[in-house]
Amino acid sequence: MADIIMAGFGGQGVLTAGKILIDIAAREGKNVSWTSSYGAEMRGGTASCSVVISDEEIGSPYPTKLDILLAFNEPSYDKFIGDMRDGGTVIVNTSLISRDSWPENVNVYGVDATDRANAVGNGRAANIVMLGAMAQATGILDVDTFSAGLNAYFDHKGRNTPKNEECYRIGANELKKL
Amino acid sequence: MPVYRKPESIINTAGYCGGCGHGVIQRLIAESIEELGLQDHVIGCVDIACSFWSQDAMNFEFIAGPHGRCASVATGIKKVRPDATVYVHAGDGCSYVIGLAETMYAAIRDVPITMIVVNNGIFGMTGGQLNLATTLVGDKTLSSKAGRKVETMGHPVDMLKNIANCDVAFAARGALYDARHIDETKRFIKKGFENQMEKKGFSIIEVLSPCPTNWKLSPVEAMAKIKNENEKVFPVGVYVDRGGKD
Amino acid sequence: MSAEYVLMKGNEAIAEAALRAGCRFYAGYPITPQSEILEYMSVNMEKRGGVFIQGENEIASMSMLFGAAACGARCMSSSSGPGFDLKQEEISYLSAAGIPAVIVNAMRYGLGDGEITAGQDSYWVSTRGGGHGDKRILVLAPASVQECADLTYEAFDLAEKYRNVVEILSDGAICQMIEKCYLPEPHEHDMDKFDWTLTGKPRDARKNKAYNLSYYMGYEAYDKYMREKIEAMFENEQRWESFMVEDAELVLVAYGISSRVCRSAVRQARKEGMKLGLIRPITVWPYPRKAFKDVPESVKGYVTVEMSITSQMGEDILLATEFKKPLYGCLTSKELPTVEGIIDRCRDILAGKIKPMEVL
Repeated sequence: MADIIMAGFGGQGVLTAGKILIDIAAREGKNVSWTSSYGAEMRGGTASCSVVISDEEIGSPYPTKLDILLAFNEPSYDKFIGDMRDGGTVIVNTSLISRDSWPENVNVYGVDATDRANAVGNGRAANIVMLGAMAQATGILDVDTFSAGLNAYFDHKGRNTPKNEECYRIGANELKKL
Repeated sequence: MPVYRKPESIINTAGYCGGCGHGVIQRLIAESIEELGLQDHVIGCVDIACSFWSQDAMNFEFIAGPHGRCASVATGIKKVRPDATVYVHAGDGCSYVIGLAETMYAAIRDVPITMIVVNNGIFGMTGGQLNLATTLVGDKTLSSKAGRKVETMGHPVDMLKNIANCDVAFAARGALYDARHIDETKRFIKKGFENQMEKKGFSIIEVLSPCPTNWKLSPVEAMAKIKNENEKVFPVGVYVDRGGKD
Repeated sequence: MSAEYVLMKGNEAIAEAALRAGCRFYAGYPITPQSEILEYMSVNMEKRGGVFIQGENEIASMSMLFGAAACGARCMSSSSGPGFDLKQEEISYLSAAGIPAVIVNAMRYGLGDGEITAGQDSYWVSTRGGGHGDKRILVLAPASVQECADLTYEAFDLAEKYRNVVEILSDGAICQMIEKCYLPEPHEHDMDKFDWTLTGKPRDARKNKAYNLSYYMGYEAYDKYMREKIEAMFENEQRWESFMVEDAELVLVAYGISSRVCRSAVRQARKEGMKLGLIRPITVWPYPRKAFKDVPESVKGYVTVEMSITSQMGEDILLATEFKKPLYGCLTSKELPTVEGIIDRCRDILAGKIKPMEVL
């Protein structure tokens, strides 16, 4: 159903964003896989995770062609934009990524994830803003289902705050087609 | 008048050479265990070297660990059988050379086992090669035929000083060259087992022990060498006795 | 098995399944990509009343395991690449004394330090290794997080059944990925249930010795015991999954991470009109030779799909097929195989553009 990569700097919550997504998708009965570029994040470089969500059995957890890309920073955008399938969806963190033009074979949406998360006093939640934008842009899961799943994820971890939901809604409501 | 009585835990002869100290040490272990009433719940750990024969001589359960790894093997045993008396009977090659890391970390972890190390300054089982930790400068072995040279082989090391840097229950060195020293060694070994009974931590007892076969000396000459040469480099006595700390 | 799934990494599934199998002793040393096993054990082992030790090195870790396993405890260690090399000494000692244990090898790619990323070039050290001497290690190769749990759970039973070392051969991809996993039911192991263990028996009881079985059995009896044990494992424990081999023109052979990609490739190829099939060994020792008996005579050849430079599994396939069919390679070295790459390779093979692989 969707081959996804989320990528950014270590510390932007990229890996967690992927884990939240598979947690919610799994609750919806999907088959899921998540895997990370382990090791790389330990060296202060980019961090990325691959997520596959499917109604069918999942083969490789490392998709080579992407339906969805969440680019949290410039190097990640540059690295993965060429792997997109035609008609795929790219969410860019416009706080950190700017371009004069965007590729035409894919649907590109932007949201000021870092700035907006900082503005609501939840700077570590840029990843949730990005997830909100992704949910809205792709319809991969119903936006409200996604929201409920997000709260369930953080409740289960014992560290939920209303700001998570707020950041999620910001992402879902403020994304712009680029 | 004391009556000679063989410890009941010794049920067989071992394959030790004439004049070897291993048999004396084995007896001191058996006596200590029996005097403390521990003989019904013992697991011994021997090395793939001369101490190996002890597992056939003693009426205990035994494991023969990979060469050098006795302290680790005994650690694993003690962790899952904490109520058993677990001891190591191994040589100085096992304990201080190939297995130095294993010995040091058993000490660092302060594992409540009793480790008896036979310091005879040579690799006995393999036919008499240099022991990097314990062969004295100038001593001739099959792999130092002109005598140990400091320039290429370094100095022997008093490992008990290193172990004394760790927070262990007990560390001491004894010798076997006369009755007084055998008695003292027995007290050290028994203390090691008492510490284990009282769950006090790691106890290590090193014993200066003769290897007449590989030293190419008579048993009497070998005892004299320990007294006149080896003990000068490896002084007998207590290095650590932590006392009541659990 | 639990009714609820959990999302966990392959490494975590291995560790949790081991605990649920009654493993109460773990000693190991960190190395990527399997350190989560050690970390998981450091958090959870003592909660289950077991012993966790971070060893000063692999050899010491395995030696501690040797002692604990000889006492009858269910024991596990884990490593990868160069760390796994260091475990060979004690695998030989465990084998000599007939002491069961479960050892995990999460393959990373390359020689020496190699890379921390996934590879499949520790096939030989796993299937032929285990140090010196003639023995076999039962090697189970999971291809999913679920299998990480299931095979690890069962590995302890197999180890005890045969008094043999069992290895879980995962790889950097399988052990690092998160999937849904249904965990097995917790089981308490009785470490006093065997008659061969060290317990520290009283003076009148027969004493056990944990050392070379040959020393106590005599070589004639020992040789017979070992031969019969190895034959029994070979006969009874071959496991595999066959996928669409019934009418296949080419049969892919792959285990672990590569086998997942192969399944996708078989499906995709059939949509494109190319009849591929797959044999997925679940045990790589014993190699599932029986699987190859079910493949129709009409098959044109086999393709080994492996992350290695030269094929390591190829010789096992040739033995299984008795050299009757050509063997081709789809060898991806440090890179994971891809569906497209496998299909392209098979198309070229069927078009006669690729020569059969010589197994070196």
